[in-house]
Amino acid sequence: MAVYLYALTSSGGVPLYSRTLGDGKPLPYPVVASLNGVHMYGKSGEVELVSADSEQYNIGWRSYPHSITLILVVDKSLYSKHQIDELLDMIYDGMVMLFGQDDLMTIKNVERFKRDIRVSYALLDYILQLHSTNSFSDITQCVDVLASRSTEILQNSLNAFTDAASSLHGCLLINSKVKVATPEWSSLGHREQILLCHMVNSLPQVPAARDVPVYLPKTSPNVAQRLVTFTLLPGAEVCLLCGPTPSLSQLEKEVERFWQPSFDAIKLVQSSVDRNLPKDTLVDSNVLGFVMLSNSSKKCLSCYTSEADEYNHQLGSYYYYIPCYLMAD
Amino acid sequence: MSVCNEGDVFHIINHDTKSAPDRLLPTGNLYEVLFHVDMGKTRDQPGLSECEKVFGIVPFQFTKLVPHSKVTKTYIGVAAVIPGTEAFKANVGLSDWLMRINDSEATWENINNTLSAFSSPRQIRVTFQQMTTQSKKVLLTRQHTAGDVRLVTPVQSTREITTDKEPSATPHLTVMYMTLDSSEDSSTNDLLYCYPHDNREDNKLVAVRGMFLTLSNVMSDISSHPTKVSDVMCQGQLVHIAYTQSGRQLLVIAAPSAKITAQHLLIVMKNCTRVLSYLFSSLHSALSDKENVGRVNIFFTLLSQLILQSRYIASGPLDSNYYIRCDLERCYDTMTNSPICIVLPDETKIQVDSVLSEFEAADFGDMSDDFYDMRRSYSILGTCLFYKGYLAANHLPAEDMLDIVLYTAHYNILTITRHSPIGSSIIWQEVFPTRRQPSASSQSTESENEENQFYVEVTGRCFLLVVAHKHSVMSVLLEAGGCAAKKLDTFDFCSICETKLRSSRPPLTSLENLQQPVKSAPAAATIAKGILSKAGTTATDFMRRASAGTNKVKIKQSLDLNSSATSMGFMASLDRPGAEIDTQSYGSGSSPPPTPNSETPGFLRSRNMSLASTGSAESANSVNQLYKSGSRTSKSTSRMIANPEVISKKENASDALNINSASKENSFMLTSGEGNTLFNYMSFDSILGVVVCPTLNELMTDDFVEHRQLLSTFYTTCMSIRYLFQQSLDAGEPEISMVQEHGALFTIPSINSSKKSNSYWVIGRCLLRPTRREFYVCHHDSVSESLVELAFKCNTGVLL
Repeated sequence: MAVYLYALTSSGGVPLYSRTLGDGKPLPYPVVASLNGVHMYGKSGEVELVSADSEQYNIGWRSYPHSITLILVVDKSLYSKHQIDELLDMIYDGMVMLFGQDDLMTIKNVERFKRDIRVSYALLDYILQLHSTNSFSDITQCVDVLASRSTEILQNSLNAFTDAASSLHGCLLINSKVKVATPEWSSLGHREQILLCHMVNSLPQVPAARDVPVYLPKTSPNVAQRLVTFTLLPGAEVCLLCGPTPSLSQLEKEVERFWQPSFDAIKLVQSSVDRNLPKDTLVDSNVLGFVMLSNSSKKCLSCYTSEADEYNHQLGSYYYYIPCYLMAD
Repeated sequence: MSVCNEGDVFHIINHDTKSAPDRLLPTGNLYEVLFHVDMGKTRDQPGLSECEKVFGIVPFQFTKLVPHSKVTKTYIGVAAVIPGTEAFKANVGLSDWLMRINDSEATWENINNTLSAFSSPRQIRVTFQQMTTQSKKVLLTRQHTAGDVRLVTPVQSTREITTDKEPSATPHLTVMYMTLDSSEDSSTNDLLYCYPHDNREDNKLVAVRGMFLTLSNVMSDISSHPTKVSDVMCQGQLVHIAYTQSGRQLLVIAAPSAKITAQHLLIVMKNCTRVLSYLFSSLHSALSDKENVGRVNIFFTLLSQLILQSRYIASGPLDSNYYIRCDLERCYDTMTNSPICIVLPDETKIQVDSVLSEFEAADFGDMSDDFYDMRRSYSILGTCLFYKGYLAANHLPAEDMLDIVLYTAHYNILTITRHSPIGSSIIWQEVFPTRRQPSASSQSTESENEENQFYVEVTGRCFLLVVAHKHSVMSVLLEAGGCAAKKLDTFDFCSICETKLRSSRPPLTSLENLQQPVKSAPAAATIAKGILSKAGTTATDFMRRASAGTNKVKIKQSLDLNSSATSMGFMASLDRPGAEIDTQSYGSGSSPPPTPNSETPGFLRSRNMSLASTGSAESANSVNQLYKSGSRTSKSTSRMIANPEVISKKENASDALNINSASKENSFMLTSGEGNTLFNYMSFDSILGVVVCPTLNELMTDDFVEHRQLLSTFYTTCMSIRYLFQQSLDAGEPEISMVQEHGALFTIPSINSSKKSNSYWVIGRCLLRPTRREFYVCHHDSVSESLVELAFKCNTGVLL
């Protein structure tokens, strides 16, 4: 179940970084060089290599203008060809999110860039390891959401808190999934929403608050915004996209006032989070799990009803096959 | 008309050679070809027309107004070119007009005299005129309306692809066969074979062929598995590329993604390598031997015509019917990869089998060992018979039969016979059955090897004889050496071919002249016999016996064809339940248009009963009411008989689809109850390698858009589900159970807004034991689960 990611400069084929995840050994350098070589050779003949499949691996190439060529090698059982395309875009957008598009498109000093890019490893690794989490966003390209009661209380708290922070974009993440979000947050590009969630989840867990600069790949690729997060309870975080003001310390004082009334509601949601469904919602005992997608709002609800781990594993791998073919058409 | 030389038939054009084909007159470029003529040499080939002897051209005639006068004259066109002849080497195009010989006008009347006048060896100059592109377009537009699409295209596309300069924006199918063992000094040395050959310099894919070689190597470095398929962007189009590596060589087929899916291309690749190895003993000998270039070019021309066909749909006036048809055909090809079987009524089946067995016994006339008191030259390994492209009978192992199916399908023989009757065609071809090839034996598991170690099949050289006549194709696999007499290494193809032509043509033409519905199997047997016999004089004898045999079995009664019973073989019984096209063609004969016969369902009833009772136990009470269905015309009733499983549709669906209830009187239904719940049946058997399902013709005769939509969605969904089964088997997942099930729900919006739109489930199950079987059910979402379970039970009960 190995996943390899290689980034090289488009112009000269200088390796920028490589990530190897799963149980595979890193590929020898000559192999990587020839993988890049065939792609460059093809481009010189106006034939651009997009993907290649063997019995075991799927390989995807993607060259981004003036900057970086990404090569992704994944085990066939993890991702299909269509998903590789999406995954490559996700990875590139993830880098844009941390560096800004301009910086990425004009790499002046390769050595320095190599050092700087290390910041993004956490996010990249998180994206590449999504297949082992209970997230479906990597195969469905939809935002993972939670279904539970008491949505109204949480939504009110969030709206009030975002207003107080004079921000428009806010969302509440519970166990890495979106519980509620402001309409403006939901109107961001779906890949931006997914990436912001990944970003928060990939950062090391902190007891109180964070303040990270991010670029939004579609909405503002060159102007950084502040991603401010507060941990309300372990596993429950509220995220805001803010301008230069208010400061983190100012906001920190407000958190308790706005969120105190909703603590019970959050706890209630957390208690039902294993199933992703409210406890009192009955599902036929024969149903082991399901995934529900909304193509219009790009949301995805996944649910395992069975407690047993081996079932969950089987279902997980089962669902990895199913949605991709449904969505392929 | 028959074309034959070293086993390669490559074009069958018309119902009848003597009449002008429905094509436009050539108005294109003139070109001249020099022929070396030696009438002394060609004289000893009786049975061939002068044109065939001298030029290697099979002629057809057409009439044309002589310029500036009102007289019409009969001219000569090129119906086919015999491979290996001078015309073939000079690349004479099909359907071109043979205008002048040494500057004197050539007409149908004077050609023979003109040619026989060349008594001494000499060179003659022949002027041809091409078809123009413009007229081709008109031809292709015709395809949408006429049902005989496939008759015209193969013939046209040869020329089109080899000589016409297509706009470079439309990438064609590109085939490359490359080797790693090339000397570095020459740039094109590594390319052993390339299709299309003409504009290879312009072809970007050919220019970057090194990429494919490297990629294929890198991939094996990473995972020890070779590359299967890859995608590239070329001139703004996504192109799929399939790979087959054999040793140091690599075969690559590239096709635009707009025309074919990657998944389908892989199947195409697999089939191509199989057919090529079947014909040329190995992929390498097929593609690296310069002598084979001509034949392989034709092979890939046909392939590219197959793949790029949908272009015509896109450019021409879009007929939704035609579109769905192509869609469905593609699904069929991809899904099944096996011949679709006609389920014959028991009696007919016995007759068919017994005639085939009798033929296989090779106990007639001089074919027997006793006749010349020496061992026969060939022993017959088995035969199989196709009718309208569907398998009617098979006496061969599944693998051998699949070889033949792939071969005949690739050369469009099955497709042509499916859509329209052909004059006749004979193929004589040395073949290398996949079963006997080294790769096949290495694939078999060790346990199989152990089982087989006490039995070693005698190996001789195999020959395939395919005889096509009207809608039927009979294939015979023969073996030289082995049990038959040992042959010398230098096997004389030519003499066999000549004998064959000599002996088979007269009976054939005489049969055609009768203008009666002479059926092919006896004729085929006759021809086959003729080929095998040295003398060919007793050719009609076998046929007489064959038809006499069938007469005894009173087939006449159940068939309403009154006249010419003696010349009718058992194929009549096949034809009758066949399809409408055929019955119309009888119109020219003395027999009246067949009407549905009350006798006909008789022998089916018991069969249907047993089928129905598998489906539901309580179906016994009213047999007569049981079999009513949604089939709309009396003709389609008889059609259903050939496929008793394929019947009718559900009441719910019927309402929604405005089915005309008046036509329900004389129709059948498989299921019990008031409503008809079964409307499509398909079963795939991997052991026998056959598929039972309704034929495309049947599907397409459906007049209702919604139903067609339903069916096409059903097939595409089945294809996706089948792919999922394959995926999970390939992945070697721990089997959750012996049965896998996938389902999908889809909704067809109602055209009529007052009605509710209908939702349907497609459920596929895959059984792994005892053998892998798949079964798909499509049902309305209102159908209860117990009924669906019963439907699945059908699968366990029905075997061929």
